[in-house]
Amino acid sequence: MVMNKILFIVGMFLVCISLVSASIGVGISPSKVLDQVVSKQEKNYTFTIYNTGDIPVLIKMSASDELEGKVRFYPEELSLLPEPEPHRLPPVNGKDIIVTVKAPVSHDLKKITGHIVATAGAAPGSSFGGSGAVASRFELMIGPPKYFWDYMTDKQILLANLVILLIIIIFIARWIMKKKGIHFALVKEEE
Amino acid sequence: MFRLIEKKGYVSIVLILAIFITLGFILGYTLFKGNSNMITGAATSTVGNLTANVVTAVACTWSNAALNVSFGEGIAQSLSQGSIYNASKNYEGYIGAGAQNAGINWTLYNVTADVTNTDSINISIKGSHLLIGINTLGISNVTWMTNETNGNATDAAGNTHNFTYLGSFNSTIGPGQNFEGFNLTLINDGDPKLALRNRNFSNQLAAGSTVWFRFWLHVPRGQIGGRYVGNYTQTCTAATT
Repeated sequence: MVMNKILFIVGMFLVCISLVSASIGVGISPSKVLDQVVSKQEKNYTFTIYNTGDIPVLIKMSASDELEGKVRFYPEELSLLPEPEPHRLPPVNGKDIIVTVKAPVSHDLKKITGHIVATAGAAPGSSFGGSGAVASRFELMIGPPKYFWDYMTDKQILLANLVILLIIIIFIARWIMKKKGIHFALVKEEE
Repeated sequence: MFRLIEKKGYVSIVLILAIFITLGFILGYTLFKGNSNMITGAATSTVGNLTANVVTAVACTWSNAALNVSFGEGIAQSLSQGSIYNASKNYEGYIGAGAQNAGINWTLYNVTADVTNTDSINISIKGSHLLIGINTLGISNVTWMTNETNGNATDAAGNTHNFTYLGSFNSTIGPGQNFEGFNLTLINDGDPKLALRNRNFSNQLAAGSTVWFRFWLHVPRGQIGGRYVGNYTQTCTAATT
């Protein structure tokens, strides 16, 4: 009985030591991406995220600088087990993230730069929690549109579609009215 | 007359059909254009039967203490206005044989560039204000410094202030009085001086190298009492050159 207590205390002590000496790490591959696309082109990139610490971590994905608002992640969050020691490439427990980048409309050749960021979450309960992040440098050369309609933004296309729809409705209404002999007329009201 | 009306009706129908077809093309293009290109993070080139697969990667590992900082000593520490406080692990830990007895090079806050890194890395640091309700303790009240070996934080004049809490010798005000440190840059802060400091947390850190750092908190006079909570982020990026 006494032996069990001693073993329990020693066990708890070792657990405490391991928590104190724990480390939190995150890695991203590739470390940089250079690519060329045309305006409005959507392109998928695969990034591998891995954990170089010694405890499991929750990773959140984000984009910074000129990439903000132009990028989607699948998945946006993921949990990762630590890499076995010694660390090596390619990572053993790493997971893939699909990053979809949509190039903005540009009439001339234009470069946008930003970062794809993987952030390991802050420890809860601390007064000044920290987050560790790694970022992959992303440079995208955007060429002029391939087709004439690519010069238009999505909003402009939507507006054009609405105008066309309105014209169609007017034509149909006119056709039905003509068929049924209905017509509008501006008549001055007599007093 | 009847024939003309009939012809006009025919023209209207053809016109409507043409508009529908145009609309269909536009909508079809907008809604169903596919993702025809898919590349992976690794660059692969194949010439004949020779294949080269080049993998690039960067990773950083932080000590547990580095991402779990509190200021002052003890569990329920209370801080006084107008004072500067060490982060609780500033002077714990051991980082070098020669400095062990001096007791000045101890800290549990560190970040290590992974041995597998294919590029040297730059590390930046940014934070958000410490808050309690509507009360704010500005992030610029938090100061950091790195060790001189691998951190290379310099001020706008190029002076190094690493790990010298009381400041290095200053001919005007004497030793230990010119504590400046590097105030944490607020996320989205446009101050160019802070941006310079932000970039210089560590530059060109080689694979396998570690940067040690410390934090201090200045509590301004007149600060509303309460348990303030904030956070900071360190980001490792492949160095550009």
